[in-house]
Amino acid sequence: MTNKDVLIKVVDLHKGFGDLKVLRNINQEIHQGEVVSIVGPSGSGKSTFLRCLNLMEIPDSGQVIFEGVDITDPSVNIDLHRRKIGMVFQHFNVFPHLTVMENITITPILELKTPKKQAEEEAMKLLKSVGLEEKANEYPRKLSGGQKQRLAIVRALAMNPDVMLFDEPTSALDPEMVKDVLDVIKALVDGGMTCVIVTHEMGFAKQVSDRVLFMDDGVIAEEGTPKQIFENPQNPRTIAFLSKVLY
Amino acid sequence: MGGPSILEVLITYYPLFLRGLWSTLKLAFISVLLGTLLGALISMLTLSKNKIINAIGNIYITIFRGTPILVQLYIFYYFMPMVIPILNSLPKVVTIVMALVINSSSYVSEIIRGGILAVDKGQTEAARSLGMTSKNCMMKIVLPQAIKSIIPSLGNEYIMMIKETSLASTLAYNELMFVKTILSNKFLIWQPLFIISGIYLMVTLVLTYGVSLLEKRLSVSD
Ligand SMILES: Nc1ncnc2c1ncn2[C@@H]1O[C@H](COP(=O)(O)OP(=O)(O)OP(=O)(O)O)[C@@H](O)[C@H]1O
Ligand SMILES: [Mg+2]
Repeated sequence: MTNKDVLIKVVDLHKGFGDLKVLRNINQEIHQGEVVSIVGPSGSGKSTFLRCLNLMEIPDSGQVIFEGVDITDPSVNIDLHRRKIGMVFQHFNVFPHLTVMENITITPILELKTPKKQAEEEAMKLLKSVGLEEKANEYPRKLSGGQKQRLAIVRALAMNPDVMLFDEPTSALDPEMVKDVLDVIKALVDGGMTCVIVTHEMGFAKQVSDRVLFMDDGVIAEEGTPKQIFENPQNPRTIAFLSKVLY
Repeated sequence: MGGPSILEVLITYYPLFLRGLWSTLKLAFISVLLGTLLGALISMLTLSKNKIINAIGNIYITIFRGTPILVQLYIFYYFMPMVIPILNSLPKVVTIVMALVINSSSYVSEIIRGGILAVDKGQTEAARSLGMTSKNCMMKIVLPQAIKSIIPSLGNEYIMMIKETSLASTLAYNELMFVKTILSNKFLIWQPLFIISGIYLMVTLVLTYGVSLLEKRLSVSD
């Protein structure tokens, strides 16, 4: 967290579904180049918080200021901002009717008007970086879970995002595939990408994060460096949670 | 059940039956084709987040699925030309096609809506999170996947429509069922009915088989 530039600023964020209050009064700043992990019990609102950052969920109140623009303002064209915010989902959500190559190039070609040839060259570079260049012309049904997730990551990277959001990127994977995906994320982090990662992989969070947020019941109950959170948690709820997930 | 045998009637009058069948197939095809275009539009209404637009779509579907197609045919045939005078100068079949198209569109719109809703929500989320516009997301991501379940259902709608066009015979439209009326003037009452049933049955069986093949083809490419 050497760079002080605030990339995403969240102010007084509230979000509920019907009567259920899922997020209450969240305030956060995510800095350029920072890696923030979000941990916490199931149902605590981690995904909802992450999805508010690119307006996949519309907050009930509060602001999400991305690169200086309040993207909760209904008059902003959210598509333009989402192109700068990559998102990776638990269930990959690769496009089954498109080849691996097309999965990556379709949005740059459609929305950024990147010439097809250039988009394909860039996609090929990305595929090489995650060891999928041989699969370029396959359909995703031929890929393993880990390969699908790596595809989903490079598909997001093809838009040249300024930040990547990960929602439990390895939770749906067979254990032997987890490492491949974490390695890709690790490489991104090492390359300086700003990342917000919801994860149950405590070891990984500890290793890559600059900061860890512990969410519980719709609030950020505790935050700090991985060392503070994992080795010396203060909040009893953090302690209780960690005692359940750490061996 | 006197008179000539079914076979004799068929041999003597087969051109009449064939012409009727051809007319039925065309009428049903045009109705489902135009019904699909209109149905796609209606499905967009029912998928809209805007409550008023949504309600318009739902009322349309409720009305045209909730009333008998025969009644719709009569209303369009006798009543529409009074409201829209230009219809008087067009062939009468136009009002018949209008009724069938509108009826078909109400069913097709539900087929399309169902097909679209059956596509995993994660697909839309992924596309939109990449910054794809909602239009591109629909056209390039959701519809191409929905089409797999939509196309076989449209085939089934065509099969239904082939049977339903027989109602147009009551308006003296010269399709397959109307052959019965023509031949009844020659005192052939029961033979044409069996022949017509047989033809409908053959056509629907063949088409049903075709649809099931299509369904299989489309599902392997998953
Ligand atoms: N679209 C929705 N409609 C209604 N309720 C929802 C919706 N999305 C989430 N919720 C509810 O909001 C609460 C928080 O959900 P969220 O997915 O943010 O939790 P989470 O911390 O990500 O949990 P997990 O670790 O299981 O993924 C849960 O009670 C969930 O059931
Ligand atoms: Mg979650």
